[in-house]
Amino acid sequence: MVEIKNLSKKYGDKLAVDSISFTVKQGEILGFLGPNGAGKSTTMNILTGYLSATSGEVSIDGYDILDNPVEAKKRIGYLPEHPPLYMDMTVWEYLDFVYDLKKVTEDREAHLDSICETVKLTDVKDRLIANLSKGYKQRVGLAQALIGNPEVLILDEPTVGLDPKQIIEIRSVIKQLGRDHTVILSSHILQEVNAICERVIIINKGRLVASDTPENLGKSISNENKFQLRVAGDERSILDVLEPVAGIQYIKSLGRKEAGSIDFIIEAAPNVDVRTPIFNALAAASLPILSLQTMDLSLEEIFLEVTKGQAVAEAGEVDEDEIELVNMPAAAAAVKEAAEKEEEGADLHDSNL
Amino acid sequence: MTAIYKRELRSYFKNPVGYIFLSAFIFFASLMFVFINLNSQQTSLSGFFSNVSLIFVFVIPVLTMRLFSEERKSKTDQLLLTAPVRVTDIVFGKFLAAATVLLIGVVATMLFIPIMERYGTPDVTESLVGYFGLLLMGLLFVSLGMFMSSITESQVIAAVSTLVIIFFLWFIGGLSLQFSEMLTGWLSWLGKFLDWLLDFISINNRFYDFTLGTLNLVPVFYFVSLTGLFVFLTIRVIERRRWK
Amino acid sequence: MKNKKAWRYSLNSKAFIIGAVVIVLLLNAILIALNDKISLEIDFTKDQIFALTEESKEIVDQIDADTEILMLTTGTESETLSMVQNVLEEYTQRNSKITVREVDVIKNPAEVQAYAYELADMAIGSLIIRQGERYEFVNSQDFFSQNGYSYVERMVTTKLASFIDGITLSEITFTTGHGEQISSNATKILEMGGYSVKQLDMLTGELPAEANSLVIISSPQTDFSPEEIDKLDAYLDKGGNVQIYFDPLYGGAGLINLESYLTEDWGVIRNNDVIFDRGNMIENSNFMLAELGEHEMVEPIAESQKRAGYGPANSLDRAVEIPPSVEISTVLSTTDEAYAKGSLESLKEGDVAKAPDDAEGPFDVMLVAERQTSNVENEVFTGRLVVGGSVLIFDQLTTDTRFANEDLLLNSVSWMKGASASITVRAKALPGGKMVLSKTQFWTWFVILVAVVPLAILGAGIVVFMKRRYK
Repeated sequence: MVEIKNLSKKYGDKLAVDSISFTVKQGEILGFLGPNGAGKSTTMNILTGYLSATSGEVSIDGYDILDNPVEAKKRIGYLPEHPPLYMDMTVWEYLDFVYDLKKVTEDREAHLDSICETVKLTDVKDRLIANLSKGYKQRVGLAQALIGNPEVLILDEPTVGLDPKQIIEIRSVIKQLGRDHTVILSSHILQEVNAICERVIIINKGRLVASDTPENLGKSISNENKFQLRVAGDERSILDVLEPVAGIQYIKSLGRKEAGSIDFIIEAAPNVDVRTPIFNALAAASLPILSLQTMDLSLEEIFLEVTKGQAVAEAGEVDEDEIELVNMPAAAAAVKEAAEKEEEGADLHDSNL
Repeated sequence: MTAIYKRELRSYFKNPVGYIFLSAFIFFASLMFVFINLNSQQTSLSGFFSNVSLIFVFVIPVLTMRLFSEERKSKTDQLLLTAPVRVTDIVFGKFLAAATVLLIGVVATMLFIPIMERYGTPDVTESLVGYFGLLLMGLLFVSLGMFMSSITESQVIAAVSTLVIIFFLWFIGGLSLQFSEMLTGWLSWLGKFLDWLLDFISINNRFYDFTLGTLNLVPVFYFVSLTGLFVFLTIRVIERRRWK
Repeated sequence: MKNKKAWRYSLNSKAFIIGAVVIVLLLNAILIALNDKISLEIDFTKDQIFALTEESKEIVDQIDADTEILMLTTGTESETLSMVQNVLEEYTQRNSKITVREVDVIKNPAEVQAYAYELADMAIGSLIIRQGERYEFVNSQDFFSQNGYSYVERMVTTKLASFIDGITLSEITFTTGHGEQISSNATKILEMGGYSVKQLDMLTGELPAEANSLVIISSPQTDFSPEEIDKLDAYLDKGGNVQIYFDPLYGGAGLINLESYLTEDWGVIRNNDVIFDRGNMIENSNFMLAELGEHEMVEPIAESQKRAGYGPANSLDRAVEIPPSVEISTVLSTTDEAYAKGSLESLKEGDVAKAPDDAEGPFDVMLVAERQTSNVENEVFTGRLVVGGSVLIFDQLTTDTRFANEDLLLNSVSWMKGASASITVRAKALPGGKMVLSKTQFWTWFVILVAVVPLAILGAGIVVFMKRRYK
């Protein structure tokens, strides 16, 4: 549905977006993750035709945003970071204007009414936008994006600045919309992306650093076997039992979390299932396992890893306050991957010319 | 284009701007009409026309200052530029909306003709030619103001710069600078060109023909082509900003 | 080459922008240049001020040497100058031999140094028309008449005609040597009418020989000698045209030779008195409205709204015996109620009531006498004589828009000389006219237009704004 190839954007000498490529399939909800200033908004502005890329291509449903802007834009509903609202209009006047602007052919009243219903604006439709609360303004912005039933919804930080209740409401609306729209959603809040999106793209400093489902991302980055283990007994004796178990590479005690038990983190060699040997060994020593769970990295951790890892790689030195980490191999892998992608992209690009 | 035209036009009358413009324009125009025509009991509007251009200097910026700077400031330009419309349509929609308000003002002052007809026999065709010229001049100022509004985010800067430029163009003809006398020798061609250019941009010199009751292709083309040029430049400014 | 697409786009834009500006400037420059050659103008003025009359075109087409029209300016534009420039453009468009140039007399006084003497009493906007060594002037003060007419085209065409061999302006000769009061208003009107005005001392000079010439004797104060009378008579015998105006204000009591010539040869008596026609008197002035006679020279005036007037005047009478070859007709006369006082003193003292010994009207104020003579070869000539009782008929009154006296003067001249004798480019009505409204009406409109309407609009704006504000 949405196809982006080697997208780059330069502001003067500064590279805001650096050769990003990805595609979004029909009906997919894509999370666009990155810290502030990572280039999310720039990318989205390029996607929607508000800005033009310095190089690269964007096509929406097969229509190039530069060559065929009107057709491409017809298929996009865009909610920018700051909702583009005319403060001197009422909600209905505004939606009515957008309806005309997008040259929608559906029945005006019915269409606008149903959108107001969807985003719960019916109560305020005759109010002046300037007099609405922030949450309602955001909804008007969302309603605007929905007018004309565009196939692709591009939402830039749709929940920023809202209170928790509003956030939950908006998220549920977006989720609902995701059923019959292709949605690209940017955020710097991980839970949000985690909660809504089927796929996540992480960019930092203009570069795409990761792209997968939230679950796969966690797995692929931490492809080691890592467990958290809680065993009743004292630390020394447990360690004495565990250390000889074949396959375990690293054990770290986390201390007492529950009365009479100790928590451990255990890392095993790749592709070796050490759970049964651990159970047997501990059972033989009469040390009961209270819990054993594999540890997938949360998006939060992934995010930190990939972004900071890149920061390390780029800066060449480590800021100690900031970085108290980490799984260096994973970060290095992410950086390497990104670098490869970039090279590949550059090659592709050159061969295009 | 119609959507933008309609929104922009309504916005003039949902905000004080349109009323302030019309009120101020009609006030000053009436003042001139009352003193130039009614007071001296004279039906020729030529004196009125040559003074009315001065009103434009002060009221046109009110009409044009918001057009694009406001959109950029409140980020609503994102809505327009990501909607399935061409930049040309956006610019024309806005230009025509401002032009319509201007037209309402000019047509309102056309009521001076029937007022004079009660007390004398004004020459209607001659006056209509003057009004046509007035409208063309107003449109040029509107396109200029729109252009200034497209290059800045600040309404104040847009308004002030428009005012300064229009005022400059308005009175430059009265300065009678003669570069051809300052630049002699091998620079004389430059002096001649500058003299020509100075006369060319002196809007009042172009406008005189209309106040005399003649419709000359030269000033008509002058106003229309320059108006078109500023509309074109506005489109370019907005298109080019996307590439920055 | 990474940014090829963007690069192409932005280059396009830059080239586009510069190109568009250049094209607009170029097209305008071409049009401006073209406008000097051909007319790109539709004239919507009611009298086509900016289109040359057929008479002008005929003369302009005959100009075959380079002719330059210099317009004296101070560098500033004005509506008037613009109007004149517009008219002059018509000439340059018609004939490429004619060029127009503005001369800034403040910055470039040297250029017109040669004409300093003549230019002394000329106003800004005046024209110098020159062809080779010859030059003529048009004073900008004469461009427009007070009654709303433009003489620009008439004067420029007339001056241009003087450069054309074969076209000589028809002359009008004013006699001098008898204390004549020659009205500058009248001479200006005649000049603007396309005549060339000359002065002649009849003692030393010869009266013109052309059949369509005209001699005007304007309020003489000393008598003509018998030799002069003979010359005059001989001139009239050959079909000459003479206009004689008397005037009570300028005395001329002892014009024995002249008066007896008029009485004996023409049957016209001039009374040394002052007419009072109180019914036709204009308030607060010495002017009176005249009754029109039935002569072809007053027919156009009779058709117009305006009336002819006269100032303090001698009454004219017809002699008891009028020579058989003479035919007299009245041009202007008084009403039946008019009376004439024997001396000017009563006028000065303000004692204008009718006295028993006053002569009773009606009187002639202006009349025409025609006399047919034949010479030895039996050729028949018609000598024409106009006699007026007041020189004021053609002095102040010609510039007063309430009166038709300007037309009367030009009609009398063209009747005598024949219309074809002059280059008569008609004066053109200027845009605009007068309207009449009372003080109350003025203030009513003032309040409506300046206060009520703008405030109503502003009020509507405030209402709309406040209403929406709390929505």
